[in-house]
Amino acid sequence: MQLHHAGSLSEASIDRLILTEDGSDELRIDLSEVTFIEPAGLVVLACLSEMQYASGASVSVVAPSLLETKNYASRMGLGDVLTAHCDAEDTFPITRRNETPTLLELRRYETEDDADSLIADVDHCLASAGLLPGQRQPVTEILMEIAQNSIEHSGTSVAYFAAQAYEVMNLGRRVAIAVGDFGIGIRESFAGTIYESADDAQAILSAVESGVSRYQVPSRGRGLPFSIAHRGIANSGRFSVRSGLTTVSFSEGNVRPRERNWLPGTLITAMIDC
Amino acid sequence: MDSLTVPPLVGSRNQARKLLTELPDGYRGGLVIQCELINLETPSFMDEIVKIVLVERMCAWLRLVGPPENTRNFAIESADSLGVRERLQFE
Repeated sequence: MQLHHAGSLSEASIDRLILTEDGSDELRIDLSEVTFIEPAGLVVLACLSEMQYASGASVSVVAPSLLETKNYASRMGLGDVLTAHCDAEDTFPITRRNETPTLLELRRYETEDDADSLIADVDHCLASAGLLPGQRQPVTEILMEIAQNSIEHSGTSVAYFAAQAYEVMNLGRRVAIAVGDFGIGIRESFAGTIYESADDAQAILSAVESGVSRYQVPSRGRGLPFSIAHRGIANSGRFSVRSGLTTVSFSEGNVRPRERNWLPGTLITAMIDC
Repeated sequence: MDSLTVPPLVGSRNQARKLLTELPDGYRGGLVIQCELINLETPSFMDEIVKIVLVERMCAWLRLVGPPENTRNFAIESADSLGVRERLQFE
């Protein structure tokens, strides 16, 4: 099976990459016409290749033909991750780390301790990039909640993170974050609870409602809702939560569910102005 | 039992559990937690603190010293939800 993608690889445009067929024992990801890869694209590529590799399939990747896109993907650590799942060392050369603090490399994490150290590293990077404590705080708090959620609720022990800080003219810094896993997804995580839902959109909306938790303990389920509503949207942030067949986008005064191709697990993206 | 201090840059349930490993086994007295250094405010961290100290360990009371506003509110929300508000104090 060959997956081919052209243009910018983002949360909204990754569908062709996740149209996998059960039983396929060979996966070729053709990125030759990709011109830009957002953090969400990196995270999905990593999850996809790891899932295929874990199922015994062989994975190969064709690098972007545009040199700057290929270099960016290398710098973001795509080669490091893909090398673990396929022969990609020549495709994306492994590059030196910590050259540019605004690029927060693709990173695999497995445990709550990993997630905690990831957050400390991100905060350090953003400080090196010149963001003051008050500017870093919303980013770090949001990441704290969503990174830990992946480990705790996904039913898998592997998640990926990537982020980038941008300079936006007249607006200051903006940080784009993506955290994803190819676990059971949000709807399945609510199975057997009073929040069990027949469709993914309702499950996602439940997950961002304060006080809703699969543990059904009254004090649980406030972290993600607070992050999205008060730390993100209140700071002109935008979020998307994608799981199963749906993406729900959140911005000020706007909650928008959209149908998507099926995504195993959960992908959360956040765009935060600092 | 002296007090515990929340270091900067912590905010996960995992970090809350680690902080409370310093609580001696079987300790049921009051617990003071210094919160002046908190620079991340997450509901999860404070919920885990309140749950472990006042519900699981059944300490007599929990006093938070100098918590930022959101942290204070998170602690109150958790204590209300868990029915232990009368044993939560602030300084």
